[in-house]
Amino acid sequence: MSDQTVCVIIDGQEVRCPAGCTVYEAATTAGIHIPTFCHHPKLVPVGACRQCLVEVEGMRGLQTACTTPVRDNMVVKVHTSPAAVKARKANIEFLLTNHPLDCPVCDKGGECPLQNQAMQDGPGQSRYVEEKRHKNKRYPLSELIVLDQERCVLCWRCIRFLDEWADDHELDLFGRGADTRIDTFPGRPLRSKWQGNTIDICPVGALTSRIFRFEARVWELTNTASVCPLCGVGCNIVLGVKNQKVRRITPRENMEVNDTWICDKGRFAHGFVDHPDRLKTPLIRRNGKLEPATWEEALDLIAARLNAILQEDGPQAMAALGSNQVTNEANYLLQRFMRVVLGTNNVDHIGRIPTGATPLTSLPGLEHRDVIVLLGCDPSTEAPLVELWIKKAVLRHGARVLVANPHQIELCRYGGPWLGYRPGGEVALLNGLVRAVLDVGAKDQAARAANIEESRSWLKAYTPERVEPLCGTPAAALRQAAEVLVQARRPLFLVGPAWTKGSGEQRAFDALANLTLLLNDAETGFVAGDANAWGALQMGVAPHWYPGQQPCQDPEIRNRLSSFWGTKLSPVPGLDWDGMLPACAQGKLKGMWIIGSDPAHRSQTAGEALKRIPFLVVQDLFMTETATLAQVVLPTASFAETEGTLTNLTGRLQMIRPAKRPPGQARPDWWIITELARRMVESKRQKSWDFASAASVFQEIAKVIPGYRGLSYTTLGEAGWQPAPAQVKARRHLVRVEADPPSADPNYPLELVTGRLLYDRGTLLRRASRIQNLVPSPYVIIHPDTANQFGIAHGDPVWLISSQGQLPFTVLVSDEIVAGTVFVPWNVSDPPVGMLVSEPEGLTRVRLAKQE
Amino acid sequence: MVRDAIVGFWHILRAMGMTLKYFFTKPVTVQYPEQPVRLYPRFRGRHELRRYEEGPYQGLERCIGCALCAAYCPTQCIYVQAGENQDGVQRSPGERYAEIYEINLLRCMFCGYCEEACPTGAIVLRRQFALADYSRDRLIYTQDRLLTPSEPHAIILDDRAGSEQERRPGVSGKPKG
Repeated sequence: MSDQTVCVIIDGQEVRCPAGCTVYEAATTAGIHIPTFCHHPKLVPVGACRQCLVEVEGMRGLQTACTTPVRDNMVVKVHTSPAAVKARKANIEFLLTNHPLDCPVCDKGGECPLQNQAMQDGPGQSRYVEEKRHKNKRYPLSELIVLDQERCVLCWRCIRFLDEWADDHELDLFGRGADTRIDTFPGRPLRSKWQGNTIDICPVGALTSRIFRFEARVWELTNTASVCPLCGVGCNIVLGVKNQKVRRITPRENMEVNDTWICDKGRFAHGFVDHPDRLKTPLIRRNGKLEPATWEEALDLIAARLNAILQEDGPQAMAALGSNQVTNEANYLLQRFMRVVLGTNNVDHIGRIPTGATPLTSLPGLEHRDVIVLLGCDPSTEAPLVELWIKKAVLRHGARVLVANPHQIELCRYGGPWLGYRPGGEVALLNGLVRAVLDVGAKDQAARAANIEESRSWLKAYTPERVEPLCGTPAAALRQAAEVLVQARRPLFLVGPAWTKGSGEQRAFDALANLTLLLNDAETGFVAGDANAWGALQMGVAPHWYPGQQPCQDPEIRNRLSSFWGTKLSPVPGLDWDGMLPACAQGKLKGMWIIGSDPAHRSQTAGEALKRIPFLVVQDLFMTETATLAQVVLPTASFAETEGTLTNLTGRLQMIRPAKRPPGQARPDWWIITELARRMVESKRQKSWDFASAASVFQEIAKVIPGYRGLSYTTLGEAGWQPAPAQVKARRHLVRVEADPPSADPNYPLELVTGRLLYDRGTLLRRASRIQNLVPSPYVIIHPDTANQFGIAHGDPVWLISSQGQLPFTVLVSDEIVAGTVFVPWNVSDPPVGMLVSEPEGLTRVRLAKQE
Repeated sequence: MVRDAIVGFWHILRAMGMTLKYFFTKPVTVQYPEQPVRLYPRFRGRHELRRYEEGPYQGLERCIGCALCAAYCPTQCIYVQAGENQDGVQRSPGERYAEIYEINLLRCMFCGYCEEACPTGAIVLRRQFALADYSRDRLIYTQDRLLTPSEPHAIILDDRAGSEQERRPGVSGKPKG
């Protein structure tokens, strides 16, 4: 599209619009309404429904406004042309001849464009008295969507969305003429994780949700703007509630986050909110059994026990775990409680973002990256909307996607190259890439590093051929990747949590910085898989950081916060999660408070350690494995029942709002922490814990965190607030980072790689009934070489054995994984694969044994 | 003062005379339920959910759970939760039926708009007016009770003969329509 503007006359009104836009767009900018069905602002126009017919002077016949480009001085008649008005009326009548009179039982009724236009422009009565055409009704396309072919008006929106955005070509038109219908290809069911969006864009009730099916009429829903809590993207959503139950989730447009789309997990997995398993009353362990109690009893007991521990063992005998799933307000208050009331820095959360990671600067900005490198990160399962933006970059601008992952992920479909590596080989892989980039790119790249000459000596050891045995990446793939990187104009490196586990945070990021400094305009972004991973870190739920990532060791900051909170903050360094575990096991920790996480489910070591804590308080939605070990269990409100903010993977603060009441006596996290604090502080300090709502907590957060000054719930608004990207000082020197491949263990020759699936059996998704039908049965992917070595065939039942225990799986033999590793999806098997993993989480080595 | 007493006495006599007059006329009250009440043909009493009495859908509920009655109801006294007919267990024709259908008669003002909104003629206001009960909960009528027909002991006046002389004295208001 050029920058020129042209002038068109629409219904006598002069309209200026950019050259190359369509008549429909020109009319819309002038506020002239042209009815449409097939046209959708986010899709390429096709002109299939003929509803937008207009008269253009000088052109024969009527034209479809959605496909006709404007010319200078074009004269268009929309509502002033009798022929066009008549044609549009006739078109509605034609569409309605075979459209069933289903409106009373149709889930689209009430928000249906066809219904609205039939009421507005359509004939009051049909002249068509013959039997309507019959096609398939109630025709399930997948576990999530049901199709009514009779209602379909063949606008292609669903087909075009799956083609243009999701790149999942799973729906198409079949048959000819009057028999034309939408269907899937024989033997290829609809599997796209974006299929739910076709429900929203369907202009009739042809595609409807099987989860929302007949749950409510749309006008009965109370709609609350909120944010999806299931991954780090934080898609903007609307919760539709009827009778204190979340009936459906629909997307809300936010061009900085999710455009107008959401993934099927976010849309369909809300079943957990209203699940009967939700904790409804506080529970106290009496005579070894957890029994219902009142809030008074539970909070008084916790206060008394914590005070007793404080007297006997001092503040360092207590610890707390926040969560990267709960709100900023809860996390902030938890660390404030631990630091101010108890006086300890023992506060952390599981899955903390590694030190050195930076947030992604912008989601829509992904579209304009020409090379996207995925390092140990699988956006398709960890943060699906990121995948959609990557696909946009690939499909519309021809971006390349390089994938460094032990197994092939979905985004490998764009040709990669796929750089498979064994965990622990990250540094070797990156050094190999640095070396290959220098070899391929010659002078340009070398000139970017100030110390290139001295670095060449240590890089000598990392030719692609020498790297291959270190990390398992084929030399040819490395060279190919280097060629892509050298030519990249704006490469983006997306780092996932798995990337830093094998080699350690510092080394993994140093090696990555070596590579990025050689390239043009490179950026690194961390893709956090959890809803509030950045938030938990920002709120100071970490032993070494106060809110706003202000270091605890800095006496000046400590003094400032001490006076702000009105107490003397402890200078004793706190324990992180990895430090808490041995402390539990040695009996040094006497009391622990866990909010919104389930460490006992993640690993056996953690479960064993938590059993040794004399006083454990767990605050959660469900009776998790950790909760069964607790002395007191507190029921908390879910994201649909509380007010608060979440920080997404670009650092964007977004608000969640209560859409319904919590079940039973469950209470929001901020209320619980505040109430407990008020029971424990002396009366003159009570005022500092006088929070009336989550909003007042946020007001304090905005005062404590320097970058958040002046923010409030009002300023966050519907679209949220994003901080300006931090100016990272680019390094000019290559830092020597040597590869340190993990030592082999003859007893356990294989490395265990775990990864998320989009649909799993986690605490929340386990309670989303239909989604559960999409979760595969537990499997392990092994390389053909491994299969030969162990004499195992595809489909065999095997035991996967680590030093911690053994679990049964079914084997899938595939060369889409690096030899020497096995892949097991997280949260799918029961007991969980965490049983094999030892904490602190690093590399887990396993072996296979055939089940007899 | 004497004058006031006389006037007052005269008023009492007049009032007693009126009472005495009705002592000798036919009473307007009916010994219900022993005696029938006379109802106008368009009288709107308690709601009933109907079933198909004949044809291919015989025995099925007419209600398809579309909740248009609830949408139209000015007092919002109807609650509908729809369900999906499973193969083999058909409660109504088509895909959808009312899983829960409740009317709060404490709120209902018997306007009959629900009847007007219903696309299948499922909900009708029949003639049952004897709705008094001992508990408020019982006055939230559930689906099974609404599906059970109930007729009061009544004589229905003929529409055409519903002329002035058949009207009970003291009842104002015209028959609907």
